[in-house]
Amino acid sequence: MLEIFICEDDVEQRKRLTKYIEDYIMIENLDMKVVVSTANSNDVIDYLKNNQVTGLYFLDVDLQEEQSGIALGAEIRQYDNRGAIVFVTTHSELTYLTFTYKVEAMDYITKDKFTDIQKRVIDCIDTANMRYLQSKHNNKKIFQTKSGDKIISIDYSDILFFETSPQLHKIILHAKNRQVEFYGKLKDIIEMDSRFYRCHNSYVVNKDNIADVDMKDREIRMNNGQICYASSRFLKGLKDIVQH
Amino acid sequence: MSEYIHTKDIENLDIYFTNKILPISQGMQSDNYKLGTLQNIKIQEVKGILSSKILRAQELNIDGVIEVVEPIEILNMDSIKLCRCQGIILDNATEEALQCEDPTLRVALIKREGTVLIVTTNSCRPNGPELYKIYEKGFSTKGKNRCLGLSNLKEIVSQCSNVTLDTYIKDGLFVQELEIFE
Repeated sequence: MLEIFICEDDVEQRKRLTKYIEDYIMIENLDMKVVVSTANSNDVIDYLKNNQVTGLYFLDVDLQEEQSGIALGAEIRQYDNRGAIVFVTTHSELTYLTFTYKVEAMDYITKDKFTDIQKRVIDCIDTANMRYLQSKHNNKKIFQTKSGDKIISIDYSDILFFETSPQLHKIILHAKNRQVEFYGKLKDIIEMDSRFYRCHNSYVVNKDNIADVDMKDREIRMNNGQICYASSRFLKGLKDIVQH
Repeated sequence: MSEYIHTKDIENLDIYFTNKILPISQGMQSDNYKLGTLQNIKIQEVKGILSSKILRAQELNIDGVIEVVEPIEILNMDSIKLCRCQGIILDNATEEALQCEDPTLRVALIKREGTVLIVTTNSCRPNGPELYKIYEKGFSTKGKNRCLGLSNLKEIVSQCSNVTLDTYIKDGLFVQELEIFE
């Protein structure tokens, strides 16, 4: 079950937020529950200390207490590193990215832009629910690797190929609508999924996304038109794959 | 605010609007305010390139904002390389944003465990070119033999062993994350 936390110091707004969430859970019959709805961030932390949870957190950034939004988010992360944090704020669009990246916040709802808060809250619940179900039922669909503090997650089906960078141990992952670099070894990548095939000393390709192979020029054309390279040594194995 | 309207609570709406919204919106109107946190960057050349590029974007009526919540004193990257990278990223972001209805450009410098992250986001067209194409040498939305920009960016980053680049398109935003490891 996904457990929901609300921390908002304005009584009216807290009541309303809680009602939006509880109504939606009831209507959609979701496997979720509001476990803490409070003005005091310590209530959230106390609950986390005593319970092992995956949570969805709605946090008011302007809490009239010492604990700032970022600090609270970071503390929550210590207990629940997979939970979804959503910041709700009356002002300061000016720190949007900082919040998002500091604590890997899932979303950020501003109250000042005449936002339809109910709709935004429902969107957050849907997204959190989808992520939760995905991670619970099959971890295998998402490729995950760590780069420094950051966790890179990409659907396997979106991965085109991996390429080594001229810099030692740096790998460039080419995906649909994303190119991302991280530190690792191609050797370890191949072992992560049977879809991956070593087609070149410097390339590992996702077999599922190959459109066709030009045997003469040793080029692999991917579904989106991008080219990945093969070496003659690995070409034969590739031939067998494409023919099947 | 829509909450008060929802409940037809005019009295509180009035108080809320006069006390909270008005002062904020007045502050927000000034573009200078959006650059205020630049003072937290203690490296002059980086501060220079960011401010000039964002100011230029603002002059072109792009909603340009910079976020630097904590002081940034050290960046473990050759500053000429870093300025070239950020220059390319911001020029490219500005050009793309200009083609959007609601152009935005946002830069944030964020300290994380062992790294500093420079995130640049800009609004982008829903059906722009495939990502890999914009990194090809000589690719430009404005015809041939222009814009070596993004392919240069990749080349510079590939020379730095402690810098990684993450580029993606998500929810109508084009995002460049340059992460510098200590």
